[in-house]
Amino acid sequence: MTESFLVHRSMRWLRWASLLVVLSIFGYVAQDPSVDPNGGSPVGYALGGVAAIMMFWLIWLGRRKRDYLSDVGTVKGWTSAHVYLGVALIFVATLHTGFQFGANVHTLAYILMLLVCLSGIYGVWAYSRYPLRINENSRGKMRAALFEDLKEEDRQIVRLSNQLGEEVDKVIRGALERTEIGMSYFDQLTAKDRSSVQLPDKGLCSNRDMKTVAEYLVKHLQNGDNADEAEALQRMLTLMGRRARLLSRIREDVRLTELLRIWLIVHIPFAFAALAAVTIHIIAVFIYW
Amino acid sequence: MRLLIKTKLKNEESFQERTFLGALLRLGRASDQDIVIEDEAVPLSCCEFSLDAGELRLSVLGKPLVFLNNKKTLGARLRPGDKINAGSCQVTVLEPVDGYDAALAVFTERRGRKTTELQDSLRESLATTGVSKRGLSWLLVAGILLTCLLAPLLVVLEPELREPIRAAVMIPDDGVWDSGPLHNAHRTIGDNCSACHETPFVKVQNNTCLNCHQQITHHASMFRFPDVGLGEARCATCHVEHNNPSALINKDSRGCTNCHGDVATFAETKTTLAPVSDFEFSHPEFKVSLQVYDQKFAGWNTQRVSLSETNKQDSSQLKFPHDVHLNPEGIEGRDARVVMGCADCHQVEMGGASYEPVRMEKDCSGCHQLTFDTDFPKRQLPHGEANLLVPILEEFYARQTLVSQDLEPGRPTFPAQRPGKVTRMEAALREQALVMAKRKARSTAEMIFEETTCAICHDVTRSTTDTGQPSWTVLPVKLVATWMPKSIFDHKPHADQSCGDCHQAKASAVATDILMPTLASCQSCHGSEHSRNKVISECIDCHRFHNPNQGLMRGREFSSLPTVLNGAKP
Repeated sequence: MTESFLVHRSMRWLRWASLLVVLSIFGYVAQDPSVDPNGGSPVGYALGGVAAIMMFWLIWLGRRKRDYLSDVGTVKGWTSAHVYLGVALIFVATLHTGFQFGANVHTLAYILMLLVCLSGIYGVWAYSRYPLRINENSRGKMRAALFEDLKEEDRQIVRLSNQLGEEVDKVIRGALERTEIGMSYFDQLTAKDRSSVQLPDKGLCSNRDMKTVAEYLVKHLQNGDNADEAEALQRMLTLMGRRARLLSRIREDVRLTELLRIWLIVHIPFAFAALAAVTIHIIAVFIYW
Repeated sequence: MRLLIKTKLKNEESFQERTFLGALLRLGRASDQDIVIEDEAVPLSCCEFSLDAGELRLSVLGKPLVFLNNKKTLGARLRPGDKINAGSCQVTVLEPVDGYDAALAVFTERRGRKTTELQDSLRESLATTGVSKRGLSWLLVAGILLTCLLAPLLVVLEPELREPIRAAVMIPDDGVWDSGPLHNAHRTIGDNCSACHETPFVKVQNNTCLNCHQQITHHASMFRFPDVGLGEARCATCHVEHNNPSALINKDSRGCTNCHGDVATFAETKTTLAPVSDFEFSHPEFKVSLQVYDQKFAGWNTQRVSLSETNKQDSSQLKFPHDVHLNPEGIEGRDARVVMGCADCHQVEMGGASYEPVRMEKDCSGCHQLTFDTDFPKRQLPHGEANLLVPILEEFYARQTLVSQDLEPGRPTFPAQRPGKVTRMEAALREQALVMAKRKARSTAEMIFEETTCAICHDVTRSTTDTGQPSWTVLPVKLVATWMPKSIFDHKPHADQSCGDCHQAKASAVATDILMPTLASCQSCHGSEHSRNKVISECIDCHRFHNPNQGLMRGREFSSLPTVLNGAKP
């Protein structure tokens, strides 16, 4: 069993981060109260300096993990430190604000940093939750393997479909072609099934979980009197049921994979935005010293 | 409807004809379509043909690019000769043929695969939203740099653009750098950051503050204490702006006690100030400023006396027993007994902070009338003019003896006035009248100076002039106007206390008593900054940093102090 980055080296970075938080809180509480706590007091400057260095370092993980030749610690160690120091940054930066907020670039930088940290915390939670669920859903198969299963299923369906009447064949082939997986990002996140089928009498209908085409086949089965055709239709229904299950598994795989990664849409761009805002914050503070 | 459909693929030479029977002719890429176009550019279901009142009608499904006679269309009635294009396919409406409702010619070109693989059609994650992490990062960074750095920077660096940018509502200005609201007192500065922040990357200068605050005075003498850093202190050390909530005056005592806790170390012998580090536990006993009369210079000196001194005495030289006046059974007034209270003599000043000085004419003369002759109860002597009293009395009595109709028995009488003749007193008689007046004046003066009117409140010494005449000197009186000039005390917040809680006047029999409250008296309610059950009292609650007796901060002394010190002074 591989060791999680969360417990890397007996949580060495959790201990360092805790120490940093405790020192920050102590410094904040013990500071000279001659002026209201703010980022410009000696303790405020110290907290701000530490927080700024931490932000630059935290964002450097993006470089470090791509630098395969580097021997400055391990990527796992870096990730462990990234997570714990990132959480500690919330405390350090919040104390640096002195709980003074306003409609300005300083508070903007703080909010962006908070979004980055909170999305990162979601990321840690997602990484502890979704990989297992993805594995359970796909029975340990990669997504490509699931699609291979689907292709095999479709080949069987098309071969069987040739034995049925022209109209039924057209409907089934159409239903295969009109199968949709995650047309939009939102559909992927909700595993929405927008598949449709063109029925001769009803036109284009929703074919969620292959239900409409199954109902169509059942109706044909009830109306038909050819025993061979009836058997073929029965087998087709079984195949359609298997296909529906396979599709929903793929959709769930897409959904879980996206939930595992969705936080990065916030985490990465807002990290750069926060870095820009913090840089401006520092420049502005010293321009208008 | 019954349609004749002629189909031709790109490489085929002749049309394949077939007949379509049905209400709706569907065209699209899907296998379930009536006309299947194997082109990825054509949607699964692209368009439909139907018969409407004998005319062929085209309806486009969704929003694919379908052109009718080279114009984009969503649906139309069709006439022979119309050409419909969708992807690589072209449908031409032909002239009607007998036995058919309409005839269509379809040209198609095989292009690409018939269907896309389902796996390929799954466009993963963000790609479907058209947003990438990298793109979003650049967008956010560029937006923030533009609005929060570039625009405000133009305001700072380009004076010509400053006002236009600040005036424009939609363009962010250096207001986005504003870390907190200005104090109420500074709100007139508005959003003009450069009013105080004159030079970029340079801290706000004291002289910038002093441009407006011209009357601000120093804390202590810059000459006596050149080394304690008062000259280098920044206004902004204590007066911090842009804090929220805004507190422009630093009330914390540490700024004071940093030096005054150990005042002897840096001030050495230059000060008599006692060290203080806390009001409740480490504050020296209050000192009062007494007025002491200097006989030699015939003037008043101020003397600082600690309330802890046992033999302290007020030296106003007035005779005044508070206890007699505050007797709960009353005191003899002008007409009857009156019960007096503090406010009968001590009147609150406008604003209620302190009390007006007690004055004889205003506060005492209601009872203490300067009458001198019971026969003339309305005649009074002037106050504060002791050396004029004898002449005034002589003049008064001379008038009585010389012209009055109504003098005491035994006075010389004057001849009655006759018409047409000026009455003249005989010289001997006049001399006698004046002697009588002088004698009367002296006896009256003796009485008021030594027994009654003056002597009640004043110490009077009697002497004899060269001519053998008696003369009286009243010891000058000066009541203390401000007992504790080095602190500020506001009576108004203490109005619910009774005067006697702090000033023990009812027990005071002599005017030499000092009735000012001691440190302990204040400490019964006021505590230090860490006090749990007392009013937290910081230095600045009673004392001022800017000492009105020191020079102005704005001026030569402040700005050129180092040269002065390096020059002539040792």
